[in-house]
Amino acid sequence: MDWIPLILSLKLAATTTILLLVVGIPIAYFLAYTKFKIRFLLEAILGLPIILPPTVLGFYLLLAFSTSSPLGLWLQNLTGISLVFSFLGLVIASMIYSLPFMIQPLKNGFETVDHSMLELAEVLGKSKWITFRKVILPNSIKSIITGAILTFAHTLGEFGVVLMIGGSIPKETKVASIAIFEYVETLNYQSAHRYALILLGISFLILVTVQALSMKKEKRR
Amino acid sequence: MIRIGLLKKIKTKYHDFELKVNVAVDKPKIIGITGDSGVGKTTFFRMLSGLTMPDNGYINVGDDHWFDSDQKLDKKVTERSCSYLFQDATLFSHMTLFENIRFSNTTLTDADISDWLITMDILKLKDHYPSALSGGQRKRAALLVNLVNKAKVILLDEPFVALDETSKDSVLKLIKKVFKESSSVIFIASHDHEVLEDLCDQVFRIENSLLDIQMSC
Repeated sequence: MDWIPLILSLKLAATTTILLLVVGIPIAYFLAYTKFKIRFLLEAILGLPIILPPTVLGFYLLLAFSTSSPLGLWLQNLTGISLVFSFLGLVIASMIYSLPFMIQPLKNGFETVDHSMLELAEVLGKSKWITFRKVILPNSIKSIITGAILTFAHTLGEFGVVLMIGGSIPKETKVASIAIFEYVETLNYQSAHRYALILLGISFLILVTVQALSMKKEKRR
Repeated sequence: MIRIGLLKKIKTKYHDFELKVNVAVDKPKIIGITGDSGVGKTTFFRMLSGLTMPDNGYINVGDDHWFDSDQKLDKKVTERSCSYLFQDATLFSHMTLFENIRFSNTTLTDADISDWLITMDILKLKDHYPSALSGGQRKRAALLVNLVNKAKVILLDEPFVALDETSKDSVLKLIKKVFKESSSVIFIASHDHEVLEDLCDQVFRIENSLLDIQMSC
């Protein structure tokens, strides 16, 4: 069995999750606490990948990443490589595709931190950064883990966007979901089964973990 | 030392009114504030701490200007030297009692924190999380968190609620100790007239939407 598509899937999911944690936490913080009146518009834009067909998103990303677009050209000059049909392109596309799955749990977690604790930190003279690090983050751990797990799982199961942006280049962009599709196309059901079962197992394990986390009583409260 | 003149429209379920606050205090004092529920005691504390914006007026603490509507000056809550015990005795739920006090004042040593806990007779609870504390223990712990912060102005909103007689005594002892060792002005809002009369230099009542504290000498 060729393990490379599975390893690529896991690598893509892990990279996307880590990068989205870095990008998603400040965005979710902004959405949770801003008094910006058109916040709803920003939330709608960031939530688009949830309802948009992956092929639509993939199509527009393909156009944006291609060197015939100003953005694609600029990115190629910046990174030195073409984003289309590359692992880096897959990572960026996955980040956009999975963004709402990270942002939503984080935002909900930040919003549910007891407001009087935030006010207490303020009257004790703590800066916004200290309050975030010492009060908001520790009280949002469950939401952060949930966001990370959902992002990981969502990226692992990605197909449409991955196919549009990455194609199916072995050892570069041919992830497990693409491999399954190709094996089915060639009627090689046995090989498709192997990948499918492993993905099924991982997905089930992830869901069990999320459920266990949500059921876990908050001992400290 | 403290000069305050504030106006704030307050809307409640039952009626709307305009709270008027005048304060002139020249020396560190313990000042009691009483009045019926909903007359604006908490609103006054929130305006003084900066958590609620007054409609207009000014707050001067020493040479420090905290608020001045004419000059559009509104000092951040974090920059006002003002600690505030909330009515619900808020504590940081993810920190132990010891960690709560350390977070409040990071300059305290372990020995200092233990001393404070001994004063309040809650040393044995130092590794407990707030959820494991009784109402009275929680109140005493929250009071400590606010008092160790060494602010110029200390606001205590109903500090005697949910306290038995022994706990009340230790709270009174602590407030007196902090007052003696600091140059803070302490405002205490409470319905417990007896304790206020015993503890405070003077007790003022909010009546007809007016709080008028004149303690200049």
